[in-house]
Amino acid sequence: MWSEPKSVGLVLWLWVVVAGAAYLYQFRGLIGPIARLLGVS
Amino acid sequence: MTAAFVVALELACCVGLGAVLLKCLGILADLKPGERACWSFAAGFGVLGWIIFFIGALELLNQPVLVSVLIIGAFGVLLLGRPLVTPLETGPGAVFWSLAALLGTVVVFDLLEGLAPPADADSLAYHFALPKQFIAAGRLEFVPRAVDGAVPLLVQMTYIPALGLGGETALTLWTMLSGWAVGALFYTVCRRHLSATWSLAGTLVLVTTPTVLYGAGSGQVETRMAMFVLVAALAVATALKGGPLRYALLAGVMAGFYMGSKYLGGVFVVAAGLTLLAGRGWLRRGAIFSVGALLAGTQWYGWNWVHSGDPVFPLLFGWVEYTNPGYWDQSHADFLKDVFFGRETVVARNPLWLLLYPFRATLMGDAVMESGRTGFGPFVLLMVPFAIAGLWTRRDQLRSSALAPIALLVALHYALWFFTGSSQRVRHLLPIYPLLLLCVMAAAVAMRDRSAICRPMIAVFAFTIALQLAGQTIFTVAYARHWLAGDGRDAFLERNVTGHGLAKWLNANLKSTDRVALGHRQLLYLIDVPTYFVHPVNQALLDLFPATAGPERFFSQVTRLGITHLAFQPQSDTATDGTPDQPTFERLIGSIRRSGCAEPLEKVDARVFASRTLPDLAADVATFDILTVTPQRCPFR
Repeated sequence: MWSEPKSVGLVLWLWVVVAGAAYLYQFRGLIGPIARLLGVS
Repeated sequence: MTAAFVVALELACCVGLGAVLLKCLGILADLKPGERACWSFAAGFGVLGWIIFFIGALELLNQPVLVSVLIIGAFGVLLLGRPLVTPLETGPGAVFWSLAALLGTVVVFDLLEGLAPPADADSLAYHFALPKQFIAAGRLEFVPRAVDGAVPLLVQMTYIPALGLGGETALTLWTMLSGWAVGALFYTVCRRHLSATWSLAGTLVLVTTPTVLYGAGSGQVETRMAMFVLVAALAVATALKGGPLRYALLAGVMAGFYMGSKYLGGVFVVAAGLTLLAGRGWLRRGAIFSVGALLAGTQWYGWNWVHSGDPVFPLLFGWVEYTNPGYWDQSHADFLKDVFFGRETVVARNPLWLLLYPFRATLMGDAVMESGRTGFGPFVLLMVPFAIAGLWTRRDQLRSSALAPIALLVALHYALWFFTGSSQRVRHLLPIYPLLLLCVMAAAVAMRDRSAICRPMIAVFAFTIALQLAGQTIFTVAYARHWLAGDGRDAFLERNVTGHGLAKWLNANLKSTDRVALGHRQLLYLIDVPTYFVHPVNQALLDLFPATAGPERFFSQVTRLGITHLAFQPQSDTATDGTPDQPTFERLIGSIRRSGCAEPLEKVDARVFASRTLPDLAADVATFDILTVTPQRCPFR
């Protein structure tokens, strides 16, 4: 099952979402300063 | 207008000098049209930096000589031949043009930065400050300062014609242009292995990488050194695949240029040299490579050796005899060792962390690693499984792959860098990052025909480019506001360089015969009167080391250095901009003031902040004290 293209694709999508979110998480403290810089807060 | 002309002339000079070098090596004819211009610029950039060193050492840094060099070098462009670019095999599709439009946006954003005054702290501290100092002196001067003074300065030498002939705008335009050259070269390198669209997508990923955005438009050298690495790596790969020996020589010259630009270039020379030793003919390849590296990259080591006795000042302290004992001492050597081997080491140097360091650096923005806002972005992390899948499907062809030597070179360089004990800042890996990008993309794109895998891979490109472009937009806000408001240079610097008010006051009130000592490195380029940079670790001529510094010795050193004024930010005001030298510097100034050796001259208020991109993070108004040195009333002799 895990060698089927759809399963591989699903795992890769999962990796992209989780790793992307993990990368973004480190910048959570910048949301306020960026919002104020852009004048939206 | 003058600035644009000077930058155009320097561009032509670099392309011309590189074309001459590649022609002499018999390599120019092997290259495709687009490659000829990009490789020539990369090689010529190094040659120009190499030539300017000798002009400066011969005390000939003046406008007529600089103009002559640029004009003579520019004639080499005639060797390029036609056509200058390779036509695309098939008509590019909508995706290509969309990516090209995004690249156009990046170019416009870069232009806003390139036309604004310089604001990056490192650039103002030495990348631009030293060329300004050398131009004023008409020659190179030995600066006995570790880390940012007595170091290889090949890249900074290329800033001298721009600044000396075209002024500050030419300088910032030159850094912008040489930053773009890395993107152009990377595109041509990608085209050897990928389609035009994938190559353009990869180029967009590279030029919007946070650390590239941070460094390419400023005076930081790493982005520009990536040009040397790209050409050197391709030359290594060609030499290893049975190419003529002249490719080993080109690899040596380009690696040498890297070594002449930064001490870490020595690590690359070793990695590239070791890679070249694989297979038959290793001795001849290795010998020719070494000759090239020595010719191109050792001039600054010789300069340091002549002036201090230490070719890698001050790393051989205790092993070699110094020409001036005051340049360095044991306490500074111990402290520097502690800083570089201790404080800038975030993870242990063992095989486990060798593997985990990239993940930590990518996911846990670290102040010491500078891996957050100025890191490498998420691309490589997100592409890891795609690259592994691509490698697995082509596992039978790995050994014969044209990229195998390059992957080996990247791995060797990374391992050597990790275990040699230097600073763990991710930016120091930037010169080899384009090679890593190339290998990862080439491996992953092998899976492009499988739609289930291709879709998430396209999502990785889209996510990375969108995120990094958003980052560049935020980075560009300060520049956009500057242009929209029509502000002058002073107003821009006030908002973007912490403590600029101090520089402004010093320029207005001190004379060219004065010399001010201060610990605020970001002001060195902006101050037009002579300065002395008071750093607690990197210099010993004005000793701030708590165990050895005392008021009488301090005053003696102040007068020996010709310092007439002292500027510092009292501790109470350092909440947002604390500099580590303040306690001792302030204490010593207080001591000599109480002894009658210095008297208050002025208190200057200046805006200070932690980030120029996000000034909202921490900002305040600080008061700087400026004192006049009064030897006539001083009891110390």
